[in-house]
Amino acid sequence: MVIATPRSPRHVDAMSIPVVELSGIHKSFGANAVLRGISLIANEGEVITLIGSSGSGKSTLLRCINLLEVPEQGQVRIGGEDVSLSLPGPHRRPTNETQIRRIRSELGMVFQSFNLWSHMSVLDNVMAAPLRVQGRDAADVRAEAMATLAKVGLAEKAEAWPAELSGGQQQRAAIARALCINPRVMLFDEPTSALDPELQVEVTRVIRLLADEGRTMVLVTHDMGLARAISSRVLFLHQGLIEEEAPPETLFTAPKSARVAQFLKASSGG
Amino acid sequence: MTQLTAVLADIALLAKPALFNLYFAFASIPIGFLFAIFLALGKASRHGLLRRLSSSYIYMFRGSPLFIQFFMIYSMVLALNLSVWKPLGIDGIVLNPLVLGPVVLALNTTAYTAEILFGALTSVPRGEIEAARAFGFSPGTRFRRIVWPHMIRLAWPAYTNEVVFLFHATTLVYFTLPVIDDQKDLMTKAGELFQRDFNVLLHYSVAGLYFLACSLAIFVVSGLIYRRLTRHMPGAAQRWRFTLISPLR
Repeated sequence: MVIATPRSPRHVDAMSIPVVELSGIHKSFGANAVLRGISLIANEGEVITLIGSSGSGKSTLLRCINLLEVPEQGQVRIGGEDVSLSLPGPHRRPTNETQIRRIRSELGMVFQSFNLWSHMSVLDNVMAAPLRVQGRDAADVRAEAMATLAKVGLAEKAEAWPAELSGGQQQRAAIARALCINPRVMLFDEPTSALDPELQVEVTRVIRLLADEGRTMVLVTHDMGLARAISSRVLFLHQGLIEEEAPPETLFTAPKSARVAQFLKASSGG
Repeated sequence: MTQLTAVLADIALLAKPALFNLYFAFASIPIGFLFAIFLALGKASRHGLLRRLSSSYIYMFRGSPLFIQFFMIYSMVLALNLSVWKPLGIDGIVLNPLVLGPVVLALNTTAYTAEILFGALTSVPRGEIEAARAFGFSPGTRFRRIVWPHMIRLAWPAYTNEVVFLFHATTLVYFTLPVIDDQKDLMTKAGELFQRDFNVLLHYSVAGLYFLACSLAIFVVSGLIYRRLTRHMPGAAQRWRFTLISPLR
């Protein structure tokens, strides 16, 4: 019998509909091979967490999902649809820009450094993609954006400039921006790494809330507590390969790999 | 008191010539600004040929004196007069200083402005552009909504300099091109007045006053625009205001 965690019911309920499928992903920057053949599947409702030391390729892998990085080899499928790419090689490009933009408009990305559009109010940040990319009705978008901001606890900051917010507030605004496109998948690239511990808590609380709603998420993080609490599966990356993949209760308590055990020991400060 | 009346007389005499300097500036600056946007994008382009052509243009016009550009272009235009302009019947337009002057100034300011805009373009926050890509913005929307607002804000103080420099450079037009009828600018009119009584201090000072007054207007308007461009950045507009006021104290 597995020890019950808040996430356990999800493993049972998760219908095995793959939303994100990466297969055989290779990526290098110059002579530096960052990803050396990685496959990943995120099913509907799953939270997949990527952990590993800096430079292990976690962020690069995440960025391959929405094609901010183009894998040199391998295939990307979103919602069962193959992303069309040119022939494998270092100059591989998407061959269908319209498809890329449509797929990106269904993937909500949250960055380590927030990357809010600094010349727009918080509300305009949240409304921009639904209006300008998805072409939705302005009144609907405004109502939904306000509701989303309320959800992340920023309703009263709707008219503020990003520069007037704390780091934690900026990151929550960035999460609202990603939520408001009604994404199939939320992608988080080290969302709390640029924040001090106090501000991390307020962002982590929002991410946990989203996980509890059953949203499909792929998360890159150094926050082992968060990874343990919300993940359906945890992938440990090492030197561009998946060293170990397991449910959190297994990976964090009884890792098979010595490298993973060593990493977890170092992360817990022991 | 006679000095004051002399100054007032000069102010009246130089009012119309000042309009010519203003005309040269206002006719060339918007055209130069528009072309400069495309030239800056060309210089930042991934296409090698486009990048090289844009860079070469900018280098040619930034790398040589405006004075020489006037002479070169005027002599080239003159050389084509009998073979091209006259048969087409447009020699009166092409050779008119009110046309050719702004053209040369526009060619020149295009290069300087393009370099300013190019520098600004390379300083647009990468993360914000990446976020726009991640959310599926088309290249056009990305430029209009994200890149351009940053680019113009970053370029603005340097561009204000360029506008004022160009306004002052309008004095070079009639060093090369012929004055037609009474179409004199501040420098030619002040020179004419100087020829009468050799009072260099009076006439050129009053001409200079016109430049100071117009420059002040440019600074004030530009400062207001800059305040608008930086309204999302707490403190930025106040800094600008300080630099504007302090030289006058």
